[in-house]
Amino acid sequence: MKNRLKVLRAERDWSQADLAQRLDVSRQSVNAIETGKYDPSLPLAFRIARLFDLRIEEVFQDGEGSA
Amino acid sequence: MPRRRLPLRAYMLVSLAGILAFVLGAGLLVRRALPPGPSGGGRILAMTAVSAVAVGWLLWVAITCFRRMDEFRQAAAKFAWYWGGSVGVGLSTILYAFIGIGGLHWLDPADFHLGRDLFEAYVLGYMTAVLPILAGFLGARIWWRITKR
Repeated sequence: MKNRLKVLRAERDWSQADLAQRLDVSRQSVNAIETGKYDPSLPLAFRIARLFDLRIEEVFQDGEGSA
Repeated sequence: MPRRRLPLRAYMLVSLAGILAFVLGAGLLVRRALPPGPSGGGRILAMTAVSAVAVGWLLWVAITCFRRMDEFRQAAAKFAWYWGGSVGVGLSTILYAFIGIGGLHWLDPADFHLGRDLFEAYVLGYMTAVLPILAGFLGARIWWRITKR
């Protein structure tokens, strides 16, 4: 699954640690999600979208070109 | 507002310190109260109870640690236990068969000889370790099916 997490984070000038603290997860989690090595659960994906005030499909794309 | 968490290492240290203190303390008490001997039924029961309490403590710590992890670390733990455990049990089965049919004796006949008593103890020891793992795996699957209906 692709995502825009790194871009969204950079736009706000947040480090991975900053984002991790806001999401109450580890920095390793943020890094793994950003690099596409780990797909977050739906609850966490919604939390991420809510944090950036976006819809979930504006942050995550399923990689099949539907979004 | 993010929840404040103690680092996982803190829980692991508390776990280790607790288990060491408990096992050493209880072991000393049992040893003084019930000295080892041929008719040590009370001692066996007492030490088994100490082991059960120690395992209960470890289980509580494991559950607490797991709940404190974020989902990425939980996924890593599940991955490690499932695949690590499965591969480990598979390897142990190969070793079990190799040793059970006389592999060590074949490699070093002078030092290793699996007589009948030793062979029975070997089988019992292996089964005592592996069967509960498989039973736990099966139990967890059944628990999953029941709770996710």
